[in-house]
Parts: sequence; structure tokens; C-alpha cells
Amino acid sequence: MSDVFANEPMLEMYIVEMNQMINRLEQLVMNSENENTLDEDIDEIFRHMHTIKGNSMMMMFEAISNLAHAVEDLYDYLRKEKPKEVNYSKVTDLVLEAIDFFKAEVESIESGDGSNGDSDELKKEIRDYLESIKFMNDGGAVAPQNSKEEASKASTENQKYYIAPQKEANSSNKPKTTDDHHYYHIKILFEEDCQMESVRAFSVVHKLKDVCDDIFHFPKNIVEENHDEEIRNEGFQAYLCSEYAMDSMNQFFESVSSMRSVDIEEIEMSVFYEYKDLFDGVIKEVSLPEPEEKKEVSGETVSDDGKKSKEKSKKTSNEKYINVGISRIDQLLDLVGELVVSESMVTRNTDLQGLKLESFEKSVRQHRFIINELQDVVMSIRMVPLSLTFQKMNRIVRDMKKKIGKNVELTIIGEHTEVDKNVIEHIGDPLMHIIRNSIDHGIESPAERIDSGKPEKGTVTLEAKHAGGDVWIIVKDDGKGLNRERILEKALSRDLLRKEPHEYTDQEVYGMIFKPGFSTKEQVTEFSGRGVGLDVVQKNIQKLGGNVVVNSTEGIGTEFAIRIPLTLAIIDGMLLRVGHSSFTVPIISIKESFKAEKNNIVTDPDGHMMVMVRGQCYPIIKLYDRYNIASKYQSVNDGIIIMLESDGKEFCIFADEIIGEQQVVVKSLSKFLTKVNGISGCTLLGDGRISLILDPSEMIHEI
Amino acid sequence: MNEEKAVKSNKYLTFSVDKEVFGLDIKHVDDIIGIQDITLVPEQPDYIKGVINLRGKIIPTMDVRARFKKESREYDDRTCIVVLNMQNTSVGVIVDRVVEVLDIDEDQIAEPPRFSGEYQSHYISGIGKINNEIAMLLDCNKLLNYEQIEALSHLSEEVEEA
Repeated sequence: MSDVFANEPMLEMYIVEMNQMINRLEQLVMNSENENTLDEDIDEIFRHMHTIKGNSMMMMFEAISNLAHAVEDLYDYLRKEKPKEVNYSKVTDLVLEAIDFFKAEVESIESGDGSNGDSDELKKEIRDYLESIKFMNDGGAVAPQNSKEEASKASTENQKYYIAPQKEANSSNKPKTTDDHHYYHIKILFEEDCQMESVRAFSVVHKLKDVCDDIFHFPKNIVEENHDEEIRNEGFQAYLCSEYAMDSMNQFFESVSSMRSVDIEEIEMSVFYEYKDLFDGVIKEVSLPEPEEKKEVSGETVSDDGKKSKEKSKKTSNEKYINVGISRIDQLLDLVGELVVSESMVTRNTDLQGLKLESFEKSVRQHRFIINELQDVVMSIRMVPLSLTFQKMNRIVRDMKKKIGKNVELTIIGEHTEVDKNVIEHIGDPLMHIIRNSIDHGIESPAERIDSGKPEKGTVTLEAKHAGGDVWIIVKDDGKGLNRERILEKALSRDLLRKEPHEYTDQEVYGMIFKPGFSTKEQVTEFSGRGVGLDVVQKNIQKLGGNVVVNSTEGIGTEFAIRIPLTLAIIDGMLLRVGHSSFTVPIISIKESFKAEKNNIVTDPDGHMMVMVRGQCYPIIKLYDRYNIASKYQSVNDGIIIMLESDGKEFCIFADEIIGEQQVVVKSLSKFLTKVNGISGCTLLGDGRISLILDPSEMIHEI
Repeated sequence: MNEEKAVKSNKYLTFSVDKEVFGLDIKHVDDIIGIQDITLVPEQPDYIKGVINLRGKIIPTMDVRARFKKESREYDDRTCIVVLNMQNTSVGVIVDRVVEVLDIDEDQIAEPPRFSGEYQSHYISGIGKINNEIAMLLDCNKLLNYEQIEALSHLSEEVEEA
């Protein structure tokens, strides 16, 4: 295995491809379960499995390739035989299990541990199941085996086992419908000095016509024109459509004389017709579509060409992609950030003050415009649609549905909403917890639902949308809603209440469910009830600079609304001065700013200052005091009070003065420094000075 | 370990604080800049003076005088910030003045005395002899990271005061 790791770039490619395919497969498989049919997607599933098998074999991850092989067999059977009695849910279970195995393996490979899982058991399970459906669909007769591909690849005992019944299958199978046709691509190389290649090729074609329903070949006009040279060098290629299976084909070619080698590959019907079009069409010159073929036939690369007819699965557009390391994009983002700062350093340079520079100003505007554009483009590179994350939720819903016996449907809206890559990485877990929570706690059992006059099937809606500078992700269920009384009871028993229960607003009460260890569910299940999940939700979302709001109506349902800022790297900030220091507050959290009247200020016996605004009392944090900064503005009358809002709570800070609004690039403070509560980072100002960024959501915990 | 010895450079940047001369292994020195505006960061140990903007990078700075618990002194035009880089973390070190870059052969470096009590030297990795003078060679790692606990205790004191 060591030589595998010597090949880092290949391994990297492998992992990237595997991840893509695994995700796609998961989607497809679940799709097929929902529709209880495989017609639509089976080819694609099969193809992905085949690629996984091939790639893994190449990388010598045998556990993966063997398992993929087993799954491939299963689908091969389903595809070719179209058995009627198939429990697709069981198939999906098995395949998902296999996909989970792939996932775990890829993860382990990624972390450098190599592939060390053991797939034998699962493989056996899949094979057994395949046997059982064969048995069921053939009423106990010798199971017709139809996996032609096996024949050519037969190398292990396992596979041989499957070839044995196959020959019988050919005799018992009445090759009637087009479904029983096999499509092949053959490539013949004649012996070095046999001469008259064209003629030999023609005779092969002639003989083939007896066993094939359709045939065409490259080079094309072997009768009229002389292609000896070409066939000698490049080989003679033909595409066949035949009722005969692979091994019969092999037999047939054994009888051809003067042949050096023949490659026979079974291909997809669509591939066959694609080349047929090519053959029939304009392509008169005999350019062999060699490189492309190679791809198709060997299954190395999944090109979607062959499937244009399948509109639905064809969303994978023809856009070209390259994989770029995220660190390089971050670097680019950093540089653009620097550029924004240095631009204002230049254009607001003190040397220019007081000068009348008309044409300069004009250039500056143009310059700024381009920089803004550049900034937008760079940001958009990091933007990724939420669809993949949302699709993964399908899987969770499915698994839960099976385990806890509730009938739930997941509706996804706005999955193409794009968010920062960083958000994608952190949003998966919270969403999973919320959805689990909704299904386990929110949605009632079918009986209960019918009793309360709701449709039997519960609905969980997962929605994403843009609003202003934020992304909203909303999870809504039509379950029984949150029970205010129960939550309060629980809060009381855990001693979480700070004021009289009836004084709490609904929002505040619902917010309590995010407290660690808080669960009103009597029974702990596999999925929820331990009170861990929602605690994680809030933490993760706060990490992203967002927040969660819960709305609920008893009997109607619950809604979790997650708000996340679109980007974390650049914020609109308000610049404040305190002594010689400057602070930046995110504008989004500023409610208002005002000069306080002395008689509106109260100081409690502990020395905490508060201000009355419109009959409400808000605490004040004096920045000079809190952060120990020498400032002349000690009295509240001198400076200015800024009211901030975070997590639905309001408080005030006191600063010397407001300097102005500015877009700032957020930089983190060196790890070398001790973390300061209330300060989330820093930023460079236009004049090169550094301003600390205040984080209201941290400050609020000090009050 | 052996490998590290083999590549160990014997060039040192020497600087002075009061009368003493200290040496820093040059491989950790990224840059030497004059004193500049330092932005105060609250709630740091007293030897952390704040952060500076070095060509767009924001770098914390520490005052060696405060680090060695010497009396502080006004910064002047000889005051320098030596930017050290340890494990991809840049830290500026404020010194009275930078003297020179010297070659010190390894056999000219004496082990510091090993005491466990009050005499224990926290930051010194060796004592180098240069002609008639001696320079205390600083262990950059310890200079920057030694006694995180100390830093933490400072912090908690400050928090309590605040």
C-alpha cells in the first residue's frame, strides 16, 4: 500500500472523485426509493458504482472495490432482468449501508490511515440478497444470471461462481425485447504481417452480421477504399448490437483467423447509438474517436455524454470545473482585502488633503468600482449552493422514518441558495439536529395526527433564502409545536428561571430549549432526547456569526429560523474612538446612538450604570472602563452612547465619539495573544492603524 | 533532534537591554523595524504591548524589558522591534537597540548554569563568548511561550480588577 501513498496527487483526485460520486449516489439511490422504481437512475447508479470499483481497484483499496462490485452485481441484475418482486426499500438499505462504508473508508484514507475497513460481511449480505431476489423472481428455477460483464472479468472465485449459471441463462432466456440486446464495442488488431487488413476486417463484419442485429465500424468504407495501413496501426473497431452474451462473443472471435488480439467491452445502449449517429452522420473522414471511447469503455471517467436523453439527472451542466485548494482562495481573498485597505490609504492620503484633483477623483472612482467588482467575484468563488447539504438531510429523514415509524416528508425549498464555504461546513450539524428534533419531538405519530385532523403524513420544510446581507435557513414542521408550560416547568426544575414564569416572552421561553441538557422529552431515543443536539445548534450558528429564532404555535407546528451573515470576512462597521484606541462595531447590531441626559442615567449600588430610554432601562458598558483605556471622556455627558442588539437583547456601550462608517476586512488576532472577551478580531483602517472589532454577542454575556 | 543540530545556524542577532547583550538565533528573525504605533489590546499580560501593522499583517508585540521584569524606559529612535517567527506565528519583540549579527561557533557557547531554585534561568539556551564580551543566547521558544500559565494568571488578575 505504501506505493499508493507515494502517489499523492492521484490519491487526492481519487478522494475528490469518490466524495462527489458518493454524494451523487446517495441522492440517486434515495430518489429511486421514493419513486419505487429504478428506471430513471439505474444507469447512472450503475455507472458510478462501476467507476468507484475501477478507481478503487486502481488505488488498491480492495475492500471498497469488492463491495462496489457486489453492489454493481445487484444493480446489474435489477437493470437487466427488471424483476417485478423487488423490495426497493431493502435494496436502498443495503446500498446506503455500502455507501456509508465507502464514506467511512474515504474519510479514513483522507486522514492518512488508508483503507482498513472490512466489507466482507456487507458484501455477503448483498450477494445473499441478490440470490434471494433471483430466487423469488424465478420461482425457484435455476437463477438466470445475466451479468455478462462478469465473464470478461472473471478472475476471482466469487465471480466464477456467478458465471456458472449464466450459460443456462442464455438458453432459457428468450431474447425477444430490445432489453435483451447487448451492446459491444470491439477492437481488433490483426497479426503484424497478415496483409489485406481491409478485406479481413470486411470478412469479420460479414460473419458478425449473422449474429448481430446492428453493426457499424471504423474505418467506415473498408470495401471501397483501402484502409490497410490504418487498421494495421490503429486496429479495427466495431460497434455491435447483439442478442448474444459476452461469452458467445468471445467464442465467435476465437474463430477469426490471423487475429493478434481482440478487446470486447460491453457498452451502454446510449453509447452505442451515439457512435452510430457519428457513423451515419457527417463524419466521413475516418477520425477514430479513440480517446473519448477509452473513457467510456473503461469507465475511468464518468462523462455524461451518453445520457443526454435523461433530462432529469442531467443537471450536471457542461460547465468546466477545476479544483482549487481552499487555502489559495483564502489567500486571494486576503489580498483583495488588503487591496481594499490600501486603496483607501492611497486615495485618502493625507498628502492629498486640500488639493483640487478632478481627474484624479475620476480615476479613483473607476478604481474603486473595479475593486468592488473584484471583491464580489472573489467572494462568489467561495460561495457554494446549499443543495448538497440539504440533500444530505433527505438521508436523515429517511433513516429516522424507518426507525421510529413516523410518516414524514421533507420538502426542500431554495436549495440553490449560495452561502460561504465556511457556512456550509458548519451548518450541516445544526440542521441535522434541528430536523431530527422536529421529526422526533415535533411530528406526531400517524394516529395522533389523524385524531387532530391533520394529514397523516407530516411535513418538514427546509427552506433557504437571501434577505439583505443575510441568509435565512428555515426549518418548519407541522407537528404539535412547543409546549410553553412544559418548557417552563423543566426550566424551573433545572433552576434556569431568573424571573417569574409569566414574565417571559414566548421567544425567551422557546430560546431555553437551546440550553445544554435541556429536553422535555421523557424518553431518550437513538436520535434525540438527551438535550445535547440543540445546544450544539446554537453554538455552531453563533460561531458563524448568526443566530436562531424559534417560533411555535401549539398544535400547528414549530419554526426554527437561522440567520447567518452572507460573508464573514468583510463587514460594515461603525468606527468608535475611546482615548487613543479605536473600536469597530458591526453596523448590523447597532440600534441607535444618542447623547444621554444626566437625569436619565442611574447607577445602582454595585456601580453598574444604566440608562432610561423611552421608559426602558438598559445597562451601559463603559468601554474605557471595561478595557482599561485612558480617556478624558469619563462622564456620560461627554461621550456618546450606542445601543446594541444581540440575540434579541439590548444594551448600551459608552464611547468617546463616533468616527464614521467603514467597510472593514476582519482579521483574527494572533493566537499568541490572550483571548479578550468581547473582541472578536481586528481590522486595518485606511490610515494603517488597527481597530479592534467588538462582538456584541460576546459582550452581552458580561451583563 | 540530531538533524536539528546539524542544521543549527550559528549566526546570532545581538541586541542590548540596559548593559546586557542578548543573542537571538537568526533563523527565527524575520524582520527588524523601528518602533512604530502600537495599538493597545486590553487584558494582556503586561509585557504584551499590543499589536502593530506590519505591511498588512497584524502582529502582537512584546516588550523584552517588561518580559525580563526590568524597569520600563521611554522608546526612542534606537528602539527596535525584532519580528520573530516561531511555528508560523509572528511576534514582535521590542528591544532597546539592535547591535549586530554575529557568528558564534558552537564551541564558544557555554551551557547555562542549571539551577532549580531562584537562579533558574528561564529564557537562556546558552552563553556565547564573543571576543571579550559575552552574550546571553535566548531560547526563542521559551521567550515567546514560556509560562503560559503565568500569562493566564496575569489575565485573571486583570479580569478581577476590571
